Amino acid sequence: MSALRVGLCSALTDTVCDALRQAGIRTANEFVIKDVEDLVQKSGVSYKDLQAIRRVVLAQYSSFPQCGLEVYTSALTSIAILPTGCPSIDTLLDGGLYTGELTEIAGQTAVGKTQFCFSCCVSVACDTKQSVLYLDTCGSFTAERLADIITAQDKEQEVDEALTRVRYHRVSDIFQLLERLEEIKLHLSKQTDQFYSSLKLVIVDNVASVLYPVLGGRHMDGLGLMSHLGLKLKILAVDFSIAVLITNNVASEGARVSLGKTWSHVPHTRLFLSRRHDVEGRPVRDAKVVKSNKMDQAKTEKTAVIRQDVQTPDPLSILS
Amino acid sequence: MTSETGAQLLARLGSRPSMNGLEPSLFGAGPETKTAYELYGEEGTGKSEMLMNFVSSCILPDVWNDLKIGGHNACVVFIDTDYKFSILHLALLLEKRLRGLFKDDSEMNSCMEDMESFIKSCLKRLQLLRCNSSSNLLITLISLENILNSNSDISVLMIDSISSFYWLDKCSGVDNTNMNSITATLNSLLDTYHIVLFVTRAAIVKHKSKDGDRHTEALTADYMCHAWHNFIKHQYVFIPLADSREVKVVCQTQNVNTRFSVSDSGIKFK
Repeated sequence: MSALRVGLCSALTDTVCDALRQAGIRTANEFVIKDVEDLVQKSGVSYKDLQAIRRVVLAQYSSFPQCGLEVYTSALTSIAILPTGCPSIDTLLDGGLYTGELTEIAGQTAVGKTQFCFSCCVSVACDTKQSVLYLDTCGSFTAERLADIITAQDKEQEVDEALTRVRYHRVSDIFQLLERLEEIKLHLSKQTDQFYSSLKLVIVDNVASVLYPVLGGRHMDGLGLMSHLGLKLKILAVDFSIAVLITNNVASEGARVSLGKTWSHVPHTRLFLSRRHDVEGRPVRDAKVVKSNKMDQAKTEKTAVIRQDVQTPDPLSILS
Repeated sequence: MTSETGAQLLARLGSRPSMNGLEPSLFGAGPETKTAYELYGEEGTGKSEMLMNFVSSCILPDVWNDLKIGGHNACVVFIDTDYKFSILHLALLLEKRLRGLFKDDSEMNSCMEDMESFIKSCLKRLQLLRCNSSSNLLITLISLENILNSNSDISVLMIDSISSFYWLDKCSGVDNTNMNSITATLNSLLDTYHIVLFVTRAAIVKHKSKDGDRHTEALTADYMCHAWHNFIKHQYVFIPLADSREVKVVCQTQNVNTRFSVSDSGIKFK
């Protein structure tokens, strides 16, 4: 909600502002919902001035309509699909992580969520030569692991170069996370830092650990912060054409994603990881797309089986 | 007495493309103008997909190259508050729908080049707006007057979803003031311009039956402000069916009880 302030347009002078305040109009919202002719009576400001202010306020604070064709042509040029480093999951996700989308990885503890993030991190920094920003809320990030994964792919000489394309921030609560996201947006719109102009992937591992502490107790505030975070992540993804990858825990013994009904609507795509043993007793991971806006349901029911096999160059398998 | 310009009068009284025949399994003869339809459901029940389906029917023409498509040749204003609208998905839906109309492949291949430019010409009939707060949504809706005045082909307004800012407003102390104004603004837009409104509302609040009667469990949780629930004339509730991939749609005021599934080429009713 924006306050009506002097200087917004030439008609909005000190006296006009005061007169409007007298009539009980302080914000842009209060102003636009009132009938102009009524306002003339109440505030004594001239009809012409009020109309001029109304036009400016509407232009200033409303969203700009885009023609579907323009959106389409710009989408064709700006959307990129980032490889996750795990071919079977790429197939499952219809190519990989899409820029402009929020993808969530959910699964129980130690199912390989963080390893999956590392894998994406490496493949974006190494293979596509784009920047990755890693926001770590639970202290699980280690650069050595990234280096190990790159080395395991026989790209040892690329380790230093690839790691310069990854930036890491430790955030300890939701407020720091929101602040960080705001900062990223600022950098992205300034475009002075080379790192941010090639930023294609933002990872938040794990959202649940910053949201849990604010939920419960005075429940409502937590839900507000949760919606705020969800919206912010999506705006970052859509406005700057970035792929945002987040991890989340599961509740009720792996049956449902944690954080409840409000959060369940937030991501564009959700990938569910679960653990089981195959017929020979070796542990395997099942990956399943449970939410997607671009696939039909039949496709989302397929699962990819990821084996824990030290011999394959699949980074998720190597060290999970 | 408010005055209006000649252009406004024309926009108001001139005929906008009719929506008759849109999705007969849900609307029978077609959705009525000046009416608000709400699609309510949990995550992943196909509310947004249903809107995409409506968009594609609206922006396609009735006939193209002697092919009967059955579209409405109308313009659509789509307000995305969820930041989930995917234009590529819409383009794909349009393409699949057109492909399905051809009898054989040779016939289709001869039209392939035309199809691309045809889909682009259809996308011109869509206006997309994104809103990031309830204040932004309110002011955007008020400024829609200008768009509706200047384009008499707009018959439909869609919002996906109206509940995006619910918790934000609740916790920032704005509470229902913006939502009340939004409802009033939508109401006057519908009345003045004779358009149809489709909105989605997510089931973000658990429904509790207040009287504690477990037998009459409510289908929906009416957690928004009273003005909103009074404003909605017809509410379609999307219920996922546990044993199949189908979704049940129920509307008590329209006597609708049907089911659909989301397939490769969009929504399919049973």
